[in-house]
Amino acid sequence: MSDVWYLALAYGAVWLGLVVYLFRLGGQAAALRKEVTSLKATMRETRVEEAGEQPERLVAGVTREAAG
Amino acid sequence: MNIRLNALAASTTADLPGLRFGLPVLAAALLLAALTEALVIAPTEAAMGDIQRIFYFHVAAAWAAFLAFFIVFAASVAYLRTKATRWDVVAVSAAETGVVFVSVALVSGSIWARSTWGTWWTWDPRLTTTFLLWLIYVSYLVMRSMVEEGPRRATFAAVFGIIAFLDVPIAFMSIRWWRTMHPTVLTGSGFSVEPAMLPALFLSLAAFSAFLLHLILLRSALERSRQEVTELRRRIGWMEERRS
Repeated sequence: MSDVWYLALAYGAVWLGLVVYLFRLGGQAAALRKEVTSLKATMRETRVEEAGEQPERLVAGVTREAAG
Repeated sequence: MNIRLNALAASTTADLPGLRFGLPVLAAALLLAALTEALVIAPTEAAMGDIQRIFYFHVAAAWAAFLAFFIVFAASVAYLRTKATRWDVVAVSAAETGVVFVSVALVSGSIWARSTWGTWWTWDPRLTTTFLLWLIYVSYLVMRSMVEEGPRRATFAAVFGIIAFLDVPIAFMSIRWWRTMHPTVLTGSGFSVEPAMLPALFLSLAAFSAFLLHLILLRSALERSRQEVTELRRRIGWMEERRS
């Protein structure tokens, strides 16, 4: 194999490694953002259901949030 | 608990906006300039020919790995002193990014060795100590994944991160301490490359440093998002437990 072939192989490996890692990070970040949004929605629903069972808690929660 | 969650969310989205947007642009511009300089402008080396051009990104990747492992060391010391979770996040992010860069250095070096020495690998002191470095930091990451998240894991990882750094000066100095076939770039009297090749080398070092910092910032944001997810799951579990 010629020098140029090895050079292309080396630069290809360097760029491929770095770009794959960059995209992997991007993909994981997007998946986590989605999961955070979904978990926050679940938490809100749980809170509302909980407040439905015990309305005084919702009132207390709303007052606390307004004060905070 | 609300305060903790809000603090996590805030640190995920709002730290250093200038760096978050400016650094990737700077890194991309520097990488493009370094690539042009290394492949087009730098002169062809008389003895090795074009294959020597691997050297610019190979050295820069090794440099970026050493820098990343120094950040792991410094962040580990900072964690043990302050017990602040952010230092643990910086340490794990730098360790993972350092492993990527040391892998790049090992692979590009191996391709150069095949062309110049006629073999993909030899147990030369520089190659051996660098491979050891790769193994140590991969062990660091594996060890972290095996221990449950919390202060115990962070403390254990910080101690590991400090001890692991001992191999960095050994790998760096190995070409001076032992008989080796590996070329020497930095000697006691300065750089052992032609002055006309220095711009490509310095540009590559700057480009890989900027890219390393960008990757560490990205990886840190990811780690904080993971912590936020863990905290939210714990909170939902606690709410559901309370209801039942």
